[in-house]
Amino acid sequence: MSMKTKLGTLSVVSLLFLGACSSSKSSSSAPTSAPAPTASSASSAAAPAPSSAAAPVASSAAAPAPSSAAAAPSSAAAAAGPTGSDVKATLTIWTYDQMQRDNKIQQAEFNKLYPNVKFNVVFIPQEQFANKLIASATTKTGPDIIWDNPAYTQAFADAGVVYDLSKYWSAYSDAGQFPASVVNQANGKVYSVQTYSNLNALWYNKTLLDSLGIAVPTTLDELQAAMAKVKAAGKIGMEIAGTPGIEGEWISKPFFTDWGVTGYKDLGNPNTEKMFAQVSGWVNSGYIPKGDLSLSQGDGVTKFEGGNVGFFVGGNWLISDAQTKSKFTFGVTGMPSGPNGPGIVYLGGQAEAIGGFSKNPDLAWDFLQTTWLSKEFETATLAFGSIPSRKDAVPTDASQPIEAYAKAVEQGVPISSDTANTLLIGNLWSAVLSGQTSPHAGAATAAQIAKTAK
Amino acid sequence: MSVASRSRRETVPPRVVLVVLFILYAAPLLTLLVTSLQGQGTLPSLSPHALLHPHLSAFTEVIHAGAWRSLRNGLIVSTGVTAVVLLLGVPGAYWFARAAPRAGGLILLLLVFLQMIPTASSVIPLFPVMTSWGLINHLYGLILASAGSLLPFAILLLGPFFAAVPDSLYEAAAVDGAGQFNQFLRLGVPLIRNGLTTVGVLTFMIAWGEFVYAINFLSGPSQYPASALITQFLLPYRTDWPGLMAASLIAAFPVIVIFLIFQRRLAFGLASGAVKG
Amino acid sequence: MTTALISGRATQSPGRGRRPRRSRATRPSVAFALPLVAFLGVFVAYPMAKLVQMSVSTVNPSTILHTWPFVGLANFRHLFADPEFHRTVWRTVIFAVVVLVIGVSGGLIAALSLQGRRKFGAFTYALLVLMWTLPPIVSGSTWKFLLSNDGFINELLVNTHLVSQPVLFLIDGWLPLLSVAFAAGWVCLPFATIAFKAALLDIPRERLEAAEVDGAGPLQRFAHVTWPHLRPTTYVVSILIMSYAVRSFDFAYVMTQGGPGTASTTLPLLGYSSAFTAFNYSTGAAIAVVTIVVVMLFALPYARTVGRRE
Repeated sequence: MSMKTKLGTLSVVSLLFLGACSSSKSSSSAPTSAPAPTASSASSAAAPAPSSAAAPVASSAAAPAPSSAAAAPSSAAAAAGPTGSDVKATLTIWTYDQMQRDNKIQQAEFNKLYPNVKFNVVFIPQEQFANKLIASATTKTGPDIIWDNPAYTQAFADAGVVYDLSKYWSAYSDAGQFPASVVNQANGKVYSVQTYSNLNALWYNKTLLDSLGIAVPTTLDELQAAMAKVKAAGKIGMEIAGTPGIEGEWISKPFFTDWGVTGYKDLGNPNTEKMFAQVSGWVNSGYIPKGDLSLSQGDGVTKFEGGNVGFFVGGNWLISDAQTKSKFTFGVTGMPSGPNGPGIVYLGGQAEAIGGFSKNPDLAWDFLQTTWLSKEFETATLAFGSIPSRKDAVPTDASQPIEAYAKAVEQGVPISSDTANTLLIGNLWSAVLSGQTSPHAGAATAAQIAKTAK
Repeated sequence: MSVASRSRRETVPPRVVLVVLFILYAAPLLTLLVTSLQGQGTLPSLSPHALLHPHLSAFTEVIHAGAWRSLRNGLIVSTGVTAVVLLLGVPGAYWFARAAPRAGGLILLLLVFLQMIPTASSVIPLFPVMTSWGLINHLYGLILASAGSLLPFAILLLGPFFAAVPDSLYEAAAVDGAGQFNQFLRLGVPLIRNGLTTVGVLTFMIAWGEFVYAINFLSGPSQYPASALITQFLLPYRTDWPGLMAASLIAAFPVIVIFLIFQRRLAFGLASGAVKG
Repeated sequence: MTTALISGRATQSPGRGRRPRRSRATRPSVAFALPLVAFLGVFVAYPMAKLVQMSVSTVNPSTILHTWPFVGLANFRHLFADPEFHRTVWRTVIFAVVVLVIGVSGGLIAALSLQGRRKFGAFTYALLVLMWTLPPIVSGSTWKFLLSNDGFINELLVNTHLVSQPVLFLIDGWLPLLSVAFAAGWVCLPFATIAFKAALLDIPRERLEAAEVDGAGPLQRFAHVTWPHLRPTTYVVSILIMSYAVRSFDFAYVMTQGGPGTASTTLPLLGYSSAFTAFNYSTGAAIAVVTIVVVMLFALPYARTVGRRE
């Protein structure tokens, strides 16, 4: 794919657009970020301006989302008004996922119903995403569709930059297919739905474990014993990310719940120190290589693929790549359970929301339910290594890793929206594992966090 | 080390120091080069095999990720910042140097203070301020914000150059009938040419290296200048060392070129700052 | 990079020999400065006022673009009661001292060694200045790689059997903070070298020669002639490097993200992540205010020194 050429064309086209909409009053505030390389937006000079704000919104007020009998029979919106081809609009999509930027499948599908709807996909790095969206409130020209981390639902709702989906959701006939944990609410309203989940599970090197006669561990104690054996055989027990901030907190979750520390408010639980002591003990005993603690999950998997590592706390999105790169059989199982409960993981992934300033919320919702929320597309996400949220999208004969993750989804919990404490806990996890903070001191800090937890 | 030199001043310790310094400052540059030329997906190594088999895949990937565009963005931003800084800063420094010697102490303190404000701190209020003014997601917004943070520095640096021009020259020009504007443009500005070069080049380079404002005020990688694009290679997916190093090298390239072009004048400007007077 | 650094250096002396002004010359019209003052007012002074306002308000995602409820000094009270803040202040102090020692002593030694201007010396000097002008994110990334467990430094150390296990520069104990400080010091050293080198050129040759004739050895010459001459430069350079170190953010951001935990987090990074990772804008603003006040403490003596010279 020659992205460069495409972008070259696009910048010319976008210049034309800028010229075309300079008379419109919204041009000054239109997001003029260079349009992401969507093939569809480069089609003709007669097309509407590339931002929804500047688009001549002939359809917006009048058109309720016309449902199509063919692909979305369950569409909640009543079929009325003009046919799909009468709808001329551009849907601006903001995504933090670089892969989705180039993914045209959903757009093509939607264009079968609405041939004149164009897409403007804007990639925004995740660490900048929330700020950018919050900032869009000033100009009231945000995106129509948002694909972002579900952790920010509360922040977005507070900032008023996401659209209240409650009325769509309550009328949506397939709503029951989605577990409550993927329907993100804030202030009692539905704001986003996670169409697939990204979550952690315990990977194991089956070849290595078999050769050492180790059974797949299901509890922390078994895991510890298994790592000891792996270490005794001269291999590495486990790779786990000890990075600060959001990633560290995301990894740490199941270890907290193992010890009965289920929420931030429970961090004062004396078991917090026991958890810290156990995990940092693994580092001190050499089961977890200290030098690799600064590696993120994405780098830890490289080590695991090398074949000398017994276990890895890994996410489903890393699987397909790892399967091709590793020269051994590996398996995936749920995070081990602990003395006080199961190892519950967070359900990360992509949450779909509609922009609070969308001129075409009905159309945007129609896009979501026709594509991302539909059973077909949900099933298709499996190919990307993601775990679909829809219960009916997971095949009953799913292959082993997928099955393990699908099981974990059922007891997964939403990512905390308490962003301030998320950062502190991630830092704490990183500090305790690397020995910067003792388990005791770490538990004291955790108890402080518990006091301010929401 | 040879024993070739007989000069009395050249004792052994300075030579050792020089070699150590050379290694300390050449090693990172060589690392950039060597690492960026190793294949992607491999762990960079000093092994002879890795060094003897250079790959360009890291560069193709970085170019694919928008390196050219980021260079163009960087060029627009840095040139814009330099232009704004010089356009506002040169007349301003001229005025401060010639007309405000009394208030000098206070203005100086204020400027010193302003230019010491960390960008990581000023970005916090600038975010809502720029947002409410509709200046984010535009390259010109970034130019204005960066120019604001660099202007105090530029005036501090330009001031002494103007101050070194004796008043008698202006008086003579005034006697010859030169108006205020001509005194500034025809006399003052040409006399501080070295200062202009030094300040212009340094402003450009500092603006080129700025990334905190860029990642917060621009809409995404398609708008990022080169320094900001590098942050994309630091994201917590798989660390791609060759890619990171290739991106770094591409981002460093214009600075190296400018340095080579202006090296002498820059050295003169920097040195004259201390030697003159 | 080192905005403060260079300006300080240059300001300290070009004006030194300035003659007392004769006021007969027509003063230029204030119109020369008006655009500048207006611009600084809009893009610097106003945001700074906003920063102070943020620090005494509650600013979070829901209020940031609306009115900010006033809370008085509550943010500062919370901050000063937070042990993590105190640790960060100490880390900032240690960081600044390490950067200062590396920058000033390294720069002085480098400048002394560069005296004599042989080819290799000139080349090394050019290399130093070049690396000083590189974007900090570039040098930071490079040092991150060099110091990482799989990096070239560890590869060399292990292959030459100097160590059996890689040194965990970016993980173990104080090493992460020191590694980041080393990189920041590394970038300050060329600046100090430029300043010292210029100051050395200023020493009258006759005085050194006279001392030599009097039988003073190299050390005595340094102590009695060179050092007294360098002392003012050292003072200014030290202030500038300290203030740079307190402001420094790039290297920690690139090399360790302040980690592990918060082991290499200093004040600017703490403020930045509070505001833009935790969305606690007002806490971030309060930390930024404290950072700026600390940096200001360096501005005062510096401006006085420079002002005196002019």
